[in-house]
Amino acid sequence: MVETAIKIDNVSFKYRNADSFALKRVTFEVAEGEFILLAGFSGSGKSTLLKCLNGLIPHFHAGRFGGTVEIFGESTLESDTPQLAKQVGFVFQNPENQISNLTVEREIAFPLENFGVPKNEIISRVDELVALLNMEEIRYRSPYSISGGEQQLTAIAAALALDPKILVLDEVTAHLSPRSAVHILTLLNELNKKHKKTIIIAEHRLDRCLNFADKLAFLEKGQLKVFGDLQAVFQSKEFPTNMLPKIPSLFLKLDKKIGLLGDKTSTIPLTVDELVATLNNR
Amino acid sequence: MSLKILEYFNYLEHKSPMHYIDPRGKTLFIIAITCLTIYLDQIIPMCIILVALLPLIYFGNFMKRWLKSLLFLIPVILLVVILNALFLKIDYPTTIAIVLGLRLIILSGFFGLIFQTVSPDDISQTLIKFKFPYSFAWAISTAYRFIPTLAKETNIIIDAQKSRGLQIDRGNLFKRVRNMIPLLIPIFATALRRSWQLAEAIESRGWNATKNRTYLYSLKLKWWDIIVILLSLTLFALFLYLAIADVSLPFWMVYKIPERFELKRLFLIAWEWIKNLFSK
Ligand SMILES: Nc1ncnc2c1ncn2[C@@H]1O[C@H](COP(=O)(O)OP(=O)(O)OP(=O)(O)O)[C@@H](O)[C@H]1O
Ligand SMILES: [Mg+2]
Repeated sequence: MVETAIKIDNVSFKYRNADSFALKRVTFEVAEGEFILLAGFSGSGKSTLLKCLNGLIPHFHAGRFGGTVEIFGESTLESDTPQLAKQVGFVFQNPENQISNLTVEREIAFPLENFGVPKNEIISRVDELVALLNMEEIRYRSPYSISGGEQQLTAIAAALALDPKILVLDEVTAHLSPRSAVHILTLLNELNKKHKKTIIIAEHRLDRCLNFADKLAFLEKGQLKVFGDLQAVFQSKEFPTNMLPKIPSLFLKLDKKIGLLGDKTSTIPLTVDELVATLNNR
Repeated sequence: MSLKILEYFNYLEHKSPMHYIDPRGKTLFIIAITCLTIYLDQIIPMCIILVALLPLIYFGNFMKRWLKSLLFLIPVILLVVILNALFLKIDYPTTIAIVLGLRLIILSGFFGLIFQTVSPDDISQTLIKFKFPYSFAWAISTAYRFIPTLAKETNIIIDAQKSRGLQIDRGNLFKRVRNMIPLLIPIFATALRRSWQLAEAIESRGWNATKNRTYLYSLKLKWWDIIVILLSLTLFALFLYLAIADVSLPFWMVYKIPERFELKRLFLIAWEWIKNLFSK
């Protein structure tokens, strides 16, 4: 049986100096090994929700917190941020402002140093991660002389240093060129499939994730509007049409015009191949 | 306004041989050299120190930057030398003034070199070795390291505000200072946001998870560091010996600008000559 990795139950949060709740009664569960997309417009509370997963909320950000977040059955309220760091790796949106060490290698070693891991183990773990993410060339570079994509790669490596089972990423491709973005997303897919990491990522480029994401959560004004597998979400009335990825969007427009979708239960194609197949089968 | 000066703080990625010397050794060395340079007041010893400095600057990859900074320093130094030579009320004022100028050149070279070849990391590692709390050492190295980023961002903000019509280099001093306010607000805001994001990031990486933090790298004295330290101690001992025993330098080290070439005298002669020129 697959374990429940994340259980979010009725979570609400209001930042101390804010007038309204950034999260309102959000409830959902993530099984171990799933790849979850988190979508929502700017200010909808995506970052806030993600920060609940590694305990930054409520331990780091003060405010009114309600409900429970459980990571592998343990409430974040009963844990502290360092303990949660071992279970949940977090990568932030801004590549530059999350790297605090002088070289890439040191940034990767930083979490291990914080936990007092012996030096020889740190070295072998860093070797491992550098090989895994193909970072040999930038290993000894300064984080300020490498590209944004390489900075995010560094941040991902640092987030993986403690070998967490869950990886949380907050719009990590937002500042990147399309090419680096695809590189990062491909890598995340590999981490998910090969290394069994549970991944939850806030992401604007839904198109790029359709072939490997399991589920999608859509937030609006702090409320979880839809959550489920991609099919269910894209067919849901709650999901805004202007946020639909290209192929489903095209398909639904065509469907509206010329009625491609014969009966309402058939599936929406997500990729070009699926679209072609659907059109052929008509 | 020029942000060029910030480049001085830039941590060099490409290391020079000087980078591999332990910062503790370098600190001792600069203390010894500073004491000696300030104590000695003869031209020849100053020139010897200056000549000894050149290979160090060369191996520290610092020659170009040093010469560039001297370009700005020389006018100031010249002014200091001339004023001292004219107005010092002692014997041989020109000699002392020249020593003063050489001293400034030497110290700018040594301090620049040390600045250039001590990485922010060296600073924090040294603090850790001296049992400062890790958070303090971290803050120092991070602050130092963000200076270039801050400079870059400041430039972006200046450009943005200029494109909105802000005139930074116009008007009198008071106006210019007032013009800085539209710059300071966004600069402060970005810095504040950065510090929050940085705090979130280190918190997510297990900051303060244990009291017994380990380090991937820590300072270790190598054989060449021992040499540097011994050399520094020797220089320092020499300084103490000269200062306490009050010995006089060997005769070949003592050279004074002859009376005939005293700057004051040359000035007076020139002055008379000019007066004669016009009185005719
Ligand atoms: N530190 C904070 N203090 C007060 N209010 C905050 C803070 N951070 C976020 N908020 C507010 O909480 C709400 C949700 O913000 P959040 O950053 O979670 O949205 P988001 O979906 O991540 O947006 P974006 O796509 O712009 O990153 C917003 O209204 C925002 O103004
Ligand atoms: Mg966000």
